[in-house]
Amino acid sequence: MSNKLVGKSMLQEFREKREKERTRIEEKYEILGFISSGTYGRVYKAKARKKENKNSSSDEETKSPVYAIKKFKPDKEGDITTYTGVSQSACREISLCIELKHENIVSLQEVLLEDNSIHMVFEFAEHDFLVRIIERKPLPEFTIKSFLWQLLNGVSYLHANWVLHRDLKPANILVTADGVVKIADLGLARIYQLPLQPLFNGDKVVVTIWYRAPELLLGSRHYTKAIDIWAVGCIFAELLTLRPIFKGEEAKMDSKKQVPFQRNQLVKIFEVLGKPTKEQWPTIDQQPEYSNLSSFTLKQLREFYQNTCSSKSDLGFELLSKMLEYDPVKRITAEDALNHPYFEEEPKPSMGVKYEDNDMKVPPAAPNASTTTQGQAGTSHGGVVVGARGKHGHSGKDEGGRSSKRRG
Amino acid sequence: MAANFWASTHGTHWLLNRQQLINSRKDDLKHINEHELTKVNIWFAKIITDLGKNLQVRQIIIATAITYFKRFYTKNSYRGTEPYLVAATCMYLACKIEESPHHIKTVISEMKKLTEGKGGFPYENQKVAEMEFYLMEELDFKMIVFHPYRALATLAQDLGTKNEDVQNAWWVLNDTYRTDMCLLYPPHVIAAAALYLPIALKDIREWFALLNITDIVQEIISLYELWTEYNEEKPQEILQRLLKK
Repeated sequence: MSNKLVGKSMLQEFREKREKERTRIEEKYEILGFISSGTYGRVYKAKARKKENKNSSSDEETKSPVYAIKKFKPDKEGDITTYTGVSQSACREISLCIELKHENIVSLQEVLLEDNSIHMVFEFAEHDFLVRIIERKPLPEFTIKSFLWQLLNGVSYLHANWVLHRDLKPANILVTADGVVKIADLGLARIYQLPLQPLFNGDKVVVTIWYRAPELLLGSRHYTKAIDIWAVGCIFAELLTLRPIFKGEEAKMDSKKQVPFQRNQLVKIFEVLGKPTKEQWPTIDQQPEYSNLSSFTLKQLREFYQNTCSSKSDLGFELLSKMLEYDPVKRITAEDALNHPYFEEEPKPSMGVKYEDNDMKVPPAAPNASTTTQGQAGTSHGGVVVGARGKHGHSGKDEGGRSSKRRG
Repeated sequence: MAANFWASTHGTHWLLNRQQLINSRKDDLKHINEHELTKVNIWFAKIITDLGKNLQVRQIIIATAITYFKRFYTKNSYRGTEPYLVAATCMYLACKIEESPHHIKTVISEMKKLTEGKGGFPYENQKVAEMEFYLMEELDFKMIVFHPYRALATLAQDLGTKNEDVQNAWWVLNDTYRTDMCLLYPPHVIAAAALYLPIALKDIREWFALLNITDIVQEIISLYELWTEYNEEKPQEILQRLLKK
């Protein structure tokens, strides 16, 4: 054996030892199908393989839990795999998901390593993406309010733990068959407590354009949890109107990789909210792109709300306008939003609202925030797969009562 | 999580007891004695610190990298692994987790410079990238680390400690990363101990007596004792002996 101080043989030895101990993913999980793919890699639906268990009685129907396995593809620079290690986004998602435990955040079961790829195993139940639900048909106010409340509940938990999500949008929010909202995709999320560098240094562009807060569009070098609230406000408006409220066109990055000024997105915002004034936003003239704010037409949010939104609640309007406050300092916090009187008003939100394609009525027994109506049929929404339901389940629900009928 | 140490994986999963540490070192202790192993530990903490300084990263990142390294070696022996590769990989991962990433090539080239004439660093991207996978796995993917620096600032503010004493305590904290303290004690307790040392001769001892910090203080003092007879040739010689098969 080599006498070299550091020989290749040792890593070899370590590797072999570890590989031997490792269970193959396919021994642990049975892949049921493909769910989705993105720049990060692919997501598969899987179920745990049943262990040989002598104690399990035969007539007891043992349901194996269902999982979504997110497989990251190796990092590439250009066409060739250059082995630069685990991507920043995967590092973030793993390190944060493993710490966070909340019923409105997707729950990470375990992380596995195989064939030089990271696999994140999420606990899942049947679910749909909020974006798919919005596409379908108008939602009753009870449903909207329940989704919004849970979304704020999750965001409030993130913010209490100094985590910014930085990519909230309907495509990143899941709703389980039981109507439980799960915030997903923490690949852009980060801890913002006493950052070692300004947030802007790390990621030049955050949040998908339609949900991007005005301070980001105006080039702010520093930003706060208020950017997540703006996105929630946009999602609230989208739930009410079934269309993105500020559907701007994204200016592409130029060849020098300069962050472009997103004129069109701001136009869309100003069309609804009017151009921000110095009274509304006292430090607006300190924004780097302030000089770009020349002339824009004005319209009022109230007009928008009255003409296009399904809700006619004044309190709903008030909450929406507080989330879409121009000045990030004045924008409502997630915690204050949760305590907004809108949620005290009938119909009160529920922690798990069943919604169905064919029945848009408010469920008969007006539920409150801690109970759901049992006995309603499982949803038959046209969505994909899985929905997390873990040990951190929401209050007062009967496990057995949940029928997770898959879509037919 | 970030707001609550006791709910974090650091608090729930990565605080070990001394017996666990002793068990994890059995393998290496067959070849060198405990005293010598301590010197090797100090050596690698220093390598990581110097690597961090050359990369111009913040102290927190150095502290995270050292914590990773120490956590890794609670499950592995020096003999069964390649500690220089592990050290560089810890720094590479710590930079990412602390949101100040450096390119893998930069970390490697700084490590090569640093180890020149000390055995060198015969690894390229691929090896470090591969090691990163294993490192994350050995950390049980629990990568968010709490440090005593913030607690020190809070404590010092509450006590109205003089700047000079705070600065000294900060240096003591840096030194604690050459010991196993970050594996054994919660960060705020380490911070209190570090603050105790520079102001030990002053009159707030009574307040500190309420905290159970004598062990840590003793450990810091032993570190300084060991340091007086520590020079750089020694640990390398010990390491050579340890890794020789």
